[in-house]
Amino acid sequence: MNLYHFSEEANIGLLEPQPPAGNPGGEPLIWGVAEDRASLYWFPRDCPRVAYRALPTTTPQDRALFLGHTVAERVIAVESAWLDRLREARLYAYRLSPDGFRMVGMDGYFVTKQPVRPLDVQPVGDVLARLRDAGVELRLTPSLWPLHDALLDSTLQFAMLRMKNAAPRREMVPA
Amino acid sequence: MSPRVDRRPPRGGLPAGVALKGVPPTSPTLLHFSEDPGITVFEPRPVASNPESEPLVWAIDEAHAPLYYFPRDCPRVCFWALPSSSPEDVDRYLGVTDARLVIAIEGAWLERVRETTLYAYRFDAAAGGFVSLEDHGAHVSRRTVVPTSVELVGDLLTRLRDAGVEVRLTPSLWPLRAALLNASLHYSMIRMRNAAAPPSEKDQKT
Repeated sequence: MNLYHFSEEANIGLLEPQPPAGNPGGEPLIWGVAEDRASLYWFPRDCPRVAYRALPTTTPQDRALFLGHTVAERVIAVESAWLDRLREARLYAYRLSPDGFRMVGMDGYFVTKQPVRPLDVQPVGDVLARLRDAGVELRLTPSLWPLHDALLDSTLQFAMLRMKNAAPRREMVPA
Repeated sequence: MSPRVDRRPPRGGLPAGVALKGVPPTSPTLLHFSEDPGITVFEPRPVASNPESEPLVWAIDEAHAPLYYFPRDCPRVCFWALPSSSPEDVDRYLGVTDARLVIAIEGAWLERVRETTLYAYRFDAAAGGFVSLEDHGAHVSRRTVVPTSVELVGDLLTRLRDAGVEVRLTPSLWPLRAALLNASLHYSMIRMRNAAAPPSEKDQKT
C-alpha cells in the first residue's frame, strides 16, 4: 500500500515535516493519505469541501437518504464559488512508501516526523475530470452548511475540510 | 399516497391543433437557447422528437432559464420544491442544500458542458404572441417570431453557479430519476433518451 501527499508545488525532492497549518508551534509532521481517500485531496488546499460515503455501520435509512439517489460511492460537495479555482488548480500527487509512517485514527491518515523522499510525482490533472473518472459525485453548491449539518447527525463516514474558509451560513429569514 | 398527477405537456411537444388558453406571459421578455448563433427568424415548427406535434415557437421565462444552460442534447434531471410539495420530500431532497434548484448531469457530459457555446435569443413576449403554458416557465407562440437580441450565454458552469443552482456531476442519472418519480417535488427530466444505460442489477448497491 502506498500513501499520497498532495501539494500545489511540482518539484519537491524531499518532503520536510511541517507544523500544522494555523499552529506554527505544533509538532512538525508529514501527512500521507491512503489511496482510497486521495480524491478528497484533488482540490486546492484551501478549498472548503464536504465528502461522505457509507460505512458498514451506516444505517439503511441514512444510506437511502444520502446515497439512494446515486450510484456513486462517494459524494463530494464544494462551494460553487470555488469553481474557477477548481478549474485552475494544478495539484501534484506525491506517492510515498508507508515506511516510517504511523496511522492516525481509522480513516486512512498517516503521519511521520521524518523527512520523506517521494517515490514519484504525478500531476492530478483536471480536477473535475479526475473526480468524474474516479466515479465520485461532485456537487457544486451555493453553501456547504446544510449538508454539513445533516451529516453531523448521520451514521455516514464524512470529512469536512477547510470549513473555516467556507462562506458564512445564510442568515435565517425570520418567519 | 395519492397518485401523482403529471401536469406537464406530453412528451414530444403539444398535439396538433391544440387549443391554447391564452394565458398571459409570465415575463415581458422570454428566452430561447440554441447552439446556432445565426437565427434571424423563428418559424413555428413541430418539436424535433415528434413531427406530428403542433408547429410552435417555444420559449422559457427568465426564472426557469437555467434549465437550458446546457448543451441541447445533454441529459439532465432537475428538481425543485413546489408549494404543494410535502415537507418530508422538501427536507429529504433539498434539506442538504441552500439551492432552490438542483440539476444533475452525467459526469460523462463534463467536457461537452465546458465546450458548448450557447446563445440566448430574447423575444418580446407580447409582440411575439406568446402565451404561457402554466408549466414552469414554458411559453409558445404560433407566429413567426423575430428575436429582439441574441447574447452569448458564456461558460455554462459559471452561469449555473451565478444562478444559485446546485449542479451535480454524477455517474448515472437513473437512481435520482427513479426516486423523484415517487416524490412530490417538481422535476424536469430532459433528453433522458441520451442518458447512459441504467446500471444493471448487479452493479446496484444493496
